[in-house]
Order: sequence, then C-alpha cells, then structure tokens
Amino acid sequence: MANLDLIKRLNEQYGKTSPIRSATKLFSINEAIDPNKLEKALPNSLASMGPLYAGYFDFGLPANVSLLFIDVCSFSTRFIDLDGESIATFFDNYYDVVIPIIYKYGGEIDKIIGDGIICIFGPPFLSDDTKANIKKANDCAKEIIEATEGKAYSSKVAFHSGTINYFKNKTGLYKEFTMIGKPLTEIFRLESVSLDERVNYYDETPIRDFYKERIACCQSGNSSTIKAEWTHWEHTLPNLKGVDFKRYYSIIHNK
Amino acid sequence: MPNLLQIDALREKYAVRNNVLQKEIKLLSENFKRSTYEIKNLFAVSGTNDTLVRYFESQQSANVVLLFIDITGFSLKCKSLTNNQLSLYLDDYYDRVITSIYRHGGEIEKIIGDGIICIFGQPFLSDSKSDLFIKADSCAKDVVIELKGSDKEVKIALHDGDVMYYKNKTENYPEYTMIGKPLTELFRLEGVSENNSINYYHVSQYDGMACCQEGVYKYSQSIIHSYWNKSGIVQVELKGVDWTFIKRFSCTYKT
Repeated sequence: MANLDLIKRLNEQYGKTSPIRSATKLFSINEAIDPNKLEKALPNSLASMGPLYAGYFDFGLPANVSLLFIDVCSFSTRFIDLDGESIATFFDNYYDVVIPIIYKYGGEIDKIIGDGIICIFGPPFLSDDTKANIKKANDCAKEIIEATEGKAYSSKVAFHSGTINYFKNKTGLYKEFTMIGKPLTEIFRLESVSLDERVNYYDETPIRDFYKERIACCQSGNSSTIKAEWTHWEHTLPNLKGVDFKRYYSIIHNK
Repeated sequence: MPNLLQIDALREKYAVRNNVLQKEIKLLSENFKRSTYEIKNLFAVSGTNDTLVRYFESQQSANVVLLFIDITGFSLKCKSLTNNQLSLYLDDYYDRVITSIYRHGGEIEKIIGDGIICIFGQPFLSDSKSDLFIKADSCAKDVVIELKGSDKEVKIALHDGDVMYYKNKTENYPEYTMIGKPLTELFRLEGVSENNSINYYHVSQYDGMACCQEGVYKYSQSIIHSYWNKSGIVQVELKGVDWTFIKRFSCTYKT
C-alpha cells in the first residue's frame, strides 16, 4: 500500500477529510476488474490531489516519515478458537478503537494485515517537520496503548522513523503504492521483538532524541512532585537481520 | 489478501496452473458485497465449483504450505535507484518470481515491496500435503536458481500449517485476509533466513522428504543444474514461535 481505495474507504468510514477521499473515484467491483479503467483513473486521481501527492506518489520523492506498527498481543494464540464470524466482529471492533485514534493525530493507514496495522505520519499526508510527526506518532501510540490495555484488543506498538519512497506497484492493483526503504524492514523486525502493551523504539534514532529531550525537560523540574506516567526501559536487541541498531527501548504505561 | 482484484489481474498477465478458474474469481469478486448465503446460491445456480466459497466465505480451515520470498539486502540495493529504475528492477523481479509461482500451482497471498508471500494449498490446490511440499519446494528451488548470481538474489522461508481466510468487509475492496499462527511463524522465519536458501523449522515434515535431501536439482525451465546442501540445526530465538531450531537448504552452485 498505500492503497488509495482502502484509504478513501477508511477516511469515509471514520470521518477523515483528505485529498484522497475527495479525489479518488471508487469503481464498482465490476468496473474495478477492468484494468484499463483503473490505469486511466490513477493519473487523474493523482493530479487532482495536488502537486504534493503527485511528487511523492508519481515521482517517488523521498519522504521522511514516522511509522507505527500496531498489533494485538499474541493474537494468533489467544484467539485460535474463534470462528470466522467472531473474528470478523473482533476485527471490526478493534479497527473501530484504533483507526479513529490514528486519524485523530493525522496518521494515515498504510497497510492492514489482519490484526497488524501499519500507519504513517508524514508526507504527503502531513506537511509538518520530522519532529512534529514524531510527536504526533508518539501521542497516537500512547493513546492506543491506554485505550486497549487490559482488554481483548490489548496491543503493542513498534515505533520507527526514517526515509521511504512510494513505489507504484504495477502488478495489478493499479491504485496501490508500496512503501519501500530500510525503515520498513526495520519496523517489521522491531515488531518481532516488541513487548506487549508497550511502545517500542530503537536507540540512536530521532525518536530516542525526541524522548531524551522530553525526559531532560521533566528532570530539570522538581522531580519530587513529578510522577512519570510512562517509563522507558532499555533492552539489548537480539541479532536482527538487516538491522544495525544494538538496543531498543520499550515505554510502559504506569497505570 | 488474497485480494481477488490482484489475483485476477495477475492471472491476466501470468499463466496459472491451479484449481481455481478465473470465472470463479470474477463471480466471487462481483458479488463480494452479498451475504454468504446469496453467494453460495449464486455459485450453485450457475453450476460453478464452490471450493472458493467454502474456504473464503464459510471459513473452512485450510492446511497449506507457504513461501515468503524476498530479495536479500533489498533496502540497500534499492537505495541507489531512481524511482524509474526501481520500477524496472521490481517489474523484472515480479515477472521472474510470479511466473515460477504460477508454474508450480501456487497463488499470491500478499506482495509487500520485494516480499512475496504465496500459498500452496486450498482452495487453489487440493493435493496431498506431501505433494504441496513438493510443489512449493520446486517453486522455491526454481526461484533461487533463476535469480542466483543476479542483482536480485533471494532468501526463502518455507512453512506450513492451518490457516483461515477472513472476509474483509471493506466495500469495493474484495479481500480475504489469511490469518493463523503459521503466518506469524513465517514472518519470524523470514527474519532469520539466509541468501540463496530455503529456510524452514527443523520439525517440518519437509526436512525428511526426498526433495529436501542434498543433491542435484534440475531447473524446470532449462538445462541448468544446481547443487543443494543442507545445514545442521541452527539455533534461533523468535518471539511467538514454539521452536528454537531452523535448518537451511542452500543452493551452493548452479551450472
């Protein structure tokens, strides 16, 4: 992804205003299986979304983004006995909790893989600077942890940032853009070691710098009166293929 | 996924050899928004094989073999490419890999950039489990041989187990998401997979099969011969996975 049809549909369902929502024409399924119609429709959609979208989607400009990979803790083992209808209901309820929070902070859905949701904070969907995008992603991640902790949808979040490109996928889904870049590999690897009900992020990244600044800010105040709502724990990373980082942090909510 | 639009578009482009006919995919796509009951009736009235409906709509559990194929060091390789070069690079990769998958009866489950997950099993193939392994093995070997020595060498994770297809109710987006623990285990296995190798958990039935013994393998499409060498057990620590050992079946040379 980002699949423009999926984005538009979710924008409509959860009440988000975006150029994709207003500019993308959804075809009926009969029309949609005619590739000629979709190939013609895509350039028109991009043009009406404005130069920012065309630049990133059509010309593949590098985009500095923050990414969240949100998924339900131990989904495969906890819900192994649910039947199809129950899983459908579970996912619908889960999406109803998580997606509005993502939209509240300006994020956009890149991919939904069952219980796994990858969302983006950055261009072309947000025009803020890197630090502001990190802040929005941080606020979003923490709110998701708070909203789901102790519940059936209890989640964990992998949080990463970096430069990606959107590549126009020509394999059949003509309105789909695949995100490409090392940060994507890194966030998949981070998800594989992420701790339950925590926000997890790598050391030596702009995200760590962002948190260090905030922690320093808190410590310079009167520490005896500050009760931290979130605590950062440092961990050594196991050897993760394609990942150069040595350590990661998990942020736990002090209930 | 499987996303019916993507499957349909890929079948337009590449020749597939499995049980499911294009007209069945189209019939299901066109009626995706209807209830399961209505879809079942439509298939019955039109005398169309209802295997797709049983697995996709009635959520019958499917015992499948899965491959996760991706380019080794892709993030680094694509870093220096322009968007146009990347497009050509991936188009060539998709052409070579998807052709092999379809030649052996597999179906595309998901494409995430250079990552391609494919299925050998119901509803697309109704072979015995051993035959599914043989088809997946031939496909994996063909892909490794095809790309060995090129700038697109791959690593492959091979795994099997029971999965279920959950109907994504998104309008205009006829997608059935595959869920189940084997999918998580496959993602984790991909994270420790090595170049030019088929990587699998040591407990897999595949390990004892004739196709997984060291020796010469002849590429399906030409007179290229290759030699395959099996590793001893390799210890890994993968979150959410019950096994701590994997094995690697590697192509050491091709003629």
